[in-house]
Amino acid sequence: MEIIELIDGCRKWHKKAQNELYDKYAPRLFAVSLRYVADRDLARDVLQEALIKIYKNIGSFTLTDDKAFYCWMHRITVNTALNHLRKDLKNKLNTEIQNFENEISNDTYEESFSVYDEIIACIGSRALFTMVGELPDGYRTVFNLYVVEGFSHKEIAEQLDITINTSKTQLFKARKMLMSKINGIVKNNTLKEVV
Amino acid sequence: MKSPEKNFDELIKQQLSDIEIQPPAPLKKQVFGKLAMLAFFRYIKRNSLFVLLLLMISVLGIFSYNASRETGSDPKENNGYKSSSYKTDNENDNTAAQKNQDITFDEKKSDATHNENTTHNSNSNTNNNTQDLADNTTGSEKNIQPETEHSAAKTAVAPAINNSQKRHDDNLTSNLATSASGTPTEILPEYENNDHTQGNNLAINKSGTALQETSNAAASGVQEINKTTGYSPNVRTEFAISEMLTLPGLIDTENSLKVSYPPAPVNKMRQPLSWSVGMNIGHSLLQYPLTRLPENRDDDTYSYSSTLYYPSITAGIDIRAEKRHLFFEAGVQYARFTENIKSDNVLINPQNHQFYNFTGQTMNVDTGGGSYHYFWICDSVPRLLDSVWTWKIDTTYLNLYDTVNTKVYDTLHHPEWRNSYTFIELPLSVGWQYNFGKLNVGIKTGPIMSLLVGTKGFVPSGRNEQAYMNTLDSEFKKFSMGLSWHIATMVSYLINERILLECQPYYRMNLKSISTSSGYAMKNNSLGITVGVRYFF
Repeated sequence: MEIIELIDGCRKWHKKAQNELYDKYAPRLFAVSLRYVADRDLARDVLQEALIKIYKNIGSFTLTDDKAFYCWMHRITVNTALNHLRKDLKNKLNTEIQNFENEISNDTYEESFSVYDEIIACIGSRALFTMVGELPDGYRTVFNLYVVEGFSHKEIAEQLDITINTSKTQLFKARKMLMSKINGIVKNNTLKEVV
Repeated sequence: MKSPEKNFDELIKQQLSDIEIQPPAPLKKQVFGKLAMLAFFRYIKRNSLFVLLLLMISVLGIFSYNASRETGSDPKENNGYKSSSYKTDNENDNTAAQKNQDITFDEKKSDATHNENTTHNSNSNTNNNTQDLADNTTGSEKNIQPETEHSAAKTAVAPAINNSQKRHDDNLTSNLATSASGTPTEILPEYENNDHTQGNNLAINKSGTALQETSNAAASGVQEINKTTGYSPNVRTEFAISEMLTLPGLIDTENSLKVSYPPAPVNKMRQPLSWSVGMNIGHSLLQYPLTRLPENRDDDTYSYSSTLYYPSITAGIDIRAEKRHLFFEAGVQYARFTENIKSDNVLINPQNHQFYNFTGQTMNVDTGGGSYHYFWICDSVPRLLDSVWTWKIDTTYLNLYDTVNTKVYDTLHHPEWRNSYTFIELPLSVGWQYNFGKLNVGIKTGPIMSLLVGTKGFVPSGRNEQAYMNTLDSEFKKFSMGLSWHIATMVSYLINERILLECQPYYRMNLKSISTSSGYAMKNNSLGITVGVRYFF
C-alpha cells in the first residue's frame, strides 16, 4: 500500500490500513521508545500511547511524504516518552551537578574520542543500543536528545525544565560512561562476542 | 573540521538511527482494542445528532398528541361542566377534574334509589350532594308523592342540620334542593347571610318550587330542565347536573328566577393551544474560541488568542405553541459568529496566495535547527519568504515541500485575522413560563441544529514559526452539520393582548462540533442575549 493510501485509510479508520501502519512502523518506533525508556514494560506503554495519538491525529497530517510521516510519528513517540520521564527526571537531573572537567583532563578526554572511530563501527548498533539503554535515565535522555535528535542544550533545558548547565553535565557524564563501557569491552576482549 | 566529540556523536547516531525492535505481540492487540473503543465512541458521537433529533421528535409527538386529545374532547363534556368553583389557579384543576369524574360516576346510579339519599346531609363529598340535588329535581315525575313526604320531613329537620353546616355550601345545596320538589319552603334567615353559593342554592330552590310538572313551560330560565321530561332518566340527569352546576353564581339579583349567563369561565384543562410567531435578534456577549486546532499535536506549539468580534449575531423567526405554562418552540435563524485571532508566533501572510518562482535560496542553520529561506524580488526589494517547511531530524534537514512553484507567504511577525462562520440554524426548545400580570418570566432549553453555509478566514497549519495558512473554505465543507444545546431565561412583557416583547439571555454550548479531515474543529460556546417581539394569533 502506498503511503498516501495508508494515511488516507488510517484517516478513515480502515482497519487494514491501521494494521499495515502498525506492522510497518511499530518496530522502529519501539526502538525509539526503548532508547528513551529503558524499562521494556514502560517502553511498551509509551509506544501504545504514541500509537493511539498517531491514529487519532493522523487526520491532521496533511503531507504525503514517507519521511515526513515517519518524522511526525517519531516526534510524537519521543514526546510521549519524555512526558513519561519528565515527572521524576527533573529531580534526578538536578541532584548531582558536578564539574566533571575536574575529574578528567580535557586533553585525555578529547584524545580518547579519536580511538573510538573504528571500535564503534565494529561494536555494531545492537550492542551500542544496549549500552545506551544501560545509561541512567538522566544521562540517557539528554544523550538521546542531543546526539540522536540533534537538539541544542537550550532546547533540551526547555523541554526537560532543567538548566543548560545540567544538560551539559549530563551529556558529559553520558559520554564518559559510554566510553568506559566501550573501554570495558575492548579491555576484556569481548568485542567479538558482543559483535 | 569536526571536533572529536562531534565525530563520536555522529558515529553513535549512525548506529542508533535505524534500529528496529519488534514490539511484544500483545501490544498490537491492546492498541487495536483501544482503537476499537475509540471508533465506537466516534460512531456514537457522530450519530448523536440523529439520536437527539429522534428524541426531540418523540417529545414533540407526545406533546402534540396530548394537546390534540385534550382540545378534541367530546361536546357533551364541554357543554356540561362549568364549575363556578373553578379558579384560575392551577391547584383547582385537579379538583375540577375530580368533580367531573365523580359526577359521571354518580350518573350511573338510579334516580329512585337516590331519592332516599337526599337526607344524607352528613356527606362531605360535594359531588354526592350535587347528585342528590339532581336526582331529586329530575326524578319528581316518578316519585313526586313520596318525595314530597320525604321532603316535608326533611324540611322540618333541615334547619337543625343546616345550623351545623351552614358554611358548607354543598350540603346546603343538598338540603334546599331536597325541599324544592316539595311545597315551597321558606328560606331561613340564617341562609340569607350565607355566602354567594348559598344564594345560588336559593335560586335553585325557588325555581324548583315553581316548576310544577304542568307549568314548566312558563318558567323562565329553566327551560332546559323542562325539556328533560321526555328523556330517559340518565339523560335527564345529565342535563340536570349540567344545569345545576351552571347555576351557581349566575343569578340575577333583581329577578331571581332569571338565570343570567355570563361568559363561561375558561376551563384551562381544555384550553386549546395558543399559537404565536416571534421574531428575534441576538448577539454574543462572551464567546469561547471558535476555531479549535487538532488535539494532542505535540509537535506544534501554536500560540494565539481568540476574542469575540462583531458581528456575532443571530436573527430568526419562530413559532410557539403554548398551553398554560408549557410551550414548545421551533424556528429558523441566520447566525454568523466571528472571532478575532492574534498571534505572536505564526509567520503568515494570508494575502499572498500566489505561486512564484524563487529567485534566491539560502539556508540558515542555528542552534534551533535549520530552515531554508527563499528570496523573492518584489518592487526591486528582495523579500524573505518562508516557503519550505524543513524538518530537523537526526541532525539532517528534510524538505517536506517541493521548492519549485510552491505556495509562498510573506513573513508576518504579529499576524491578526478574523474568522467568521455563517449558519442556518434550526432551534427547537421546550420551556416553562409563569406570568405575573403583564410580565412573564420563564426558562427554555433545547437543541440547535446548525448548517454551515459559509466561512471566511484562515486556519494556521504547520510548525511553530513556520506556519502557513489554509483558508477556512478549503478546510470546512459547506453544509456540514453541527449541534448545540441552548438554555435561556425569558423575560417578556405583554404590551397588548396580542403583542409581547421578549428579552432572552442565553447560553449555548457545543455538542457536536463541525470538524474537518485535518482535525480542525469549529465549536461554539457562547453567552449572549436576544430581544424580540411575539404576535399571538
